[in-house]
Amino acid sequence: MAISGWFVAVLALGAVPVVLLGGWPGFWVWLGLLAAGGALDALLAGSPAGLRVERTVPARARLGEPVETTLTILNTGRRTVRAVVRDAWQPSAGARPTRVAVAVPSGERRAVRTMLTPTRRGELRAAGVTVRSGGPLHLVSRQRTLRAPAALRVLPPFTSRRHLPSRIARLRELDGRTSLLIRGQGTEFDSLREYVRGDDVRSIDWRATARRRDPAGGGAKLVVRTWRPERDRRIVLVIDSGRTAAARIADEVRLDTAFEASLLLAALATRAGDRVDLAVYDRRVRGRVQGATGAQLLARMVDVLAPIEPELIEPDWRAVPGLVRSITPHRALVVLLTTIDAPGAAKPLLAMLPELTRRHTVVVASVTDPDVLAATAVRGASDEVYRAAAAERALLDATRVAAAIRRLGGDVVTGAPQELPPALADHYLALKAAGKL
Amino acid sequence: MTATATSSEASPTTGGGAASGNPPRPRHRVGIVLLWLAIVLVVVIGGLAVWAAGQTSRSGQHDRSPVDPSETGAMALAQVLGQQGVDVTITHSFWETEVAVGDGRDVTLLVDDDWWVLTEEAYASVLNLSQHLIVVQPTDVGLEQLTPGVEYAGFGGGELPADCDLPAVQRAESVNAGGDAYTAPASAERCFASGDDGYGLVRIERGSRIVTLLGLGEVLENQYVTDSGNAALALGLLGEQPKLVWYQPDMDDLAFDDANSLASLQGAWFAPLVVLLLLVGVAAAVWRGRRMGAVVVEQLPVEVRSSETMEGRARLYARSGARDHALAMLRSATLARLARTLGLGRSATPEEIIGATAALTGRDPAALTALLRSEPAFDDRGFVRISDELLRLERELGRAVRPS
Repeated sequence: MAISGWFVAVLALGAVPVVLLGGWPGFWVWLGLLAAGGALDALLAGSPAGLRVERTVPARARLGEPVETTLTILNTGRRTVRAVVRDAWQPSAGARPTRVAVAVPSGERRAVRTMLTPTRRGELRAAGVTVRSGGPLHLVSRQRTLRAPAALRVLPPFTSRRHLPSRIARLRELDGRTSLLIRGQGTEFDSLREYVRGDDVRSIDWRATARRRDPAGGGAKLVVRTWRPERDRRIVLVIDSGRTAAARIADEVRLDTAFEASLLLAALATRAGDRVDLAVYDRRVRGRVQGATGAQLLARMVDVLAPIEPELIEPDWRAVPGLVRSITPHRALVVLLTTIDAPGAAKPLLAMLPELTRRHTVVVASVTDPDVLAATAVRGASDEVYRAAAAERALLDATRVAAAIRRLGGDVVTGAPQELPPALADHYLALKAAGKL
Repeated sequence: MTATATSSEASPTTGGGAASGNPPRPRHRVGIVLLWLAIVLVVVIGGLAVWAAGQTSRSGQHDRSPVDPSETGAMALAQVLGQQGVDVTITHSFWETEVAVGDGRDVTLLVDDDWWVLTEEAYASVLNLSQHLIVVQPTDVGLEQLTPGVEYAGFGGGELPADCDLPAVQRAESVNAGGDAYTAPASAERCFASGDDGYGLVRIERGSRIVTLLGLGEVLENQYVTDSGNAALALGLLGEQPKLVWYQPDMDDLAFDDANSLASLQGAWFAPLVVLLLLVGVAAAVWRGRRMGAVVVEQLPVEVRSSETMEGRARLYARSGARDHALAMLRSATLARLARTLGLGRSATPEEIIGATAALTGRDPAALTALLRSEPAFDDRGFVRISDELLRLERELGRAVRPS
């Protein structure tokens, strides 16, 4: 039950009969009339209990893109239901409109459309559908909340995919279609072709040139070998979802930056023919993608990453080598997406690192805070100089940790939130070009 | 993970359709009913407790109250009067008294203003109510209005013999009670003389009205009523007429305004209108307060501002004035940047960096060593100056290295 503003207004109008009829008689007459009207209204209102609701919600949506959901209301009651319907979603689903007036005649169905504009990735849930069915006098309405559970998985936005075309172009340059200037250990023989100007003279295959010698005379045609980058290498992405991942840097949480970077790297690596596996880990595995390739890989990754939020706990680095071993027994490129900003906090990571670097190529990727870098240059008043000193201290700490990681055989990639994903992709391309995978 | 994905896919169709069929949640309803019952129970018990506490407390009770069985009450007297056939009416407001007294014949009006609430106008009105008026220990204002010429003469009382011709006094023979004494003109009936010129009981006739001043209030009290002839005196005075109105004014009579009270100016519609407006207020609250379904809650992820550590450390430096420490940070950062600009490796010592910088910029190596290693900052001004010097040095080296 709910009363309307009309009910209140009519009640207030009772002042007229109270004064005119002289006190209590007018009061009771008016109250009686209003009560009778209210009861009649409630009786004549269509029953919301006779309504059946059904939702049509897409299973997935990308963050920042609006989604349309449909709520179908079927009236199994005998009377027409004129109601205001509230389709309740979590606040961060950004549901619009929140209240819809709808009239459903008996035995018919009507659709209510709700646009969702999610402001946060993760699993968004719909609560009940509340129906407030009003009577013909607009005094009283009957209200009921119908259960209609639904969920929408909002996927990470993957805004860094704009860097993908340029990186894929670079990947093609590494491919056999152009002769490589640098020849690494891991490159594989692809084919033989005629020498053109600009090719590396070291790649001339003299034996093949001798074989190609034209019997009909003429000039010697030099033959070069072409190389292509190695394929079917393993890449293991380990994302740290511990307490440092909850830090917000330049309007983006560290964990989200790590997701962006790993999505870009995975998209690139799967194009290059490498196999990518992913684990999100703090003290236990929060999410895992293994054995997926091609387009399926990215779909699986965003699906797994979507509901993961940072936990306020210290990650357990000792178990990471075991985790990597469980993902692949082979040599792999292990990318640890974590934070390196304090020597004290990085100790467990550094202690574990030799075990990984012994078998694998290890890259540690970390987000740096552009605010800290900016603070080092602002030195007007003494307060600002103290701040600059603190910022320098933070940078020196990070540098020390990075140096320690390099000493232990790992690589370090750092960057501001917008720059880390392409920087990591570039580092991967550099490793690939050098055949270090 | 595939399992979760499929379940979320399925829920809008199968789960949504099936669950909407039987919406009522009986457990929830029962909980709400229980909650309301508990609230009602608490209110009732609280009310009872307050009422019970009020029963034992003496606050808000009159002295010599005819319904009070305690020592200072006068219930014994009122009950005996009732048994003797006197119709006793107890009133607490002037309006009640006016109604109870009626035309004022064959009625004794006892006015016992122990809280001193009656005003001048009130005493004047009381005088007109009845032919037989007994006033117990009135205020000075009361004396002026009721018995002109009578004045307060301090405390009186004790073991006093009957010394006047009033029948009640004669029957009592002697009384033993305390209270006030009054001086009175010789024309008045004066009884129970105590001390110099004070009388515990004074009766004055004003026209057709008889006003009796009872200074010895204690004769009415349960604890003294049985002493000497106290009971005989009290019964004789109060039982003169077949009807007795026992008026002990409450606080409401403080605002006594002869016939011109606020209520008489209100129309009959006033009270219902106020109630109606209250109802409108409640209805408006219900109208606005009724939610459309429950509030949807959602767990938000933890987010921490990243530069908080840096800011905290900066405040710590500033508060403790750790200039040397802060300078050491700035210097080592500058040295690192100089080394990078110079193309020296990570292992370059500060001396090498200073030497190379001095060679390129043409600065004095000793001054550079002081700036980059030893020069202390004695105050904030020196601190800022050294910091600026360091930045200037970095820029200078940058210019020197850059190919022109």
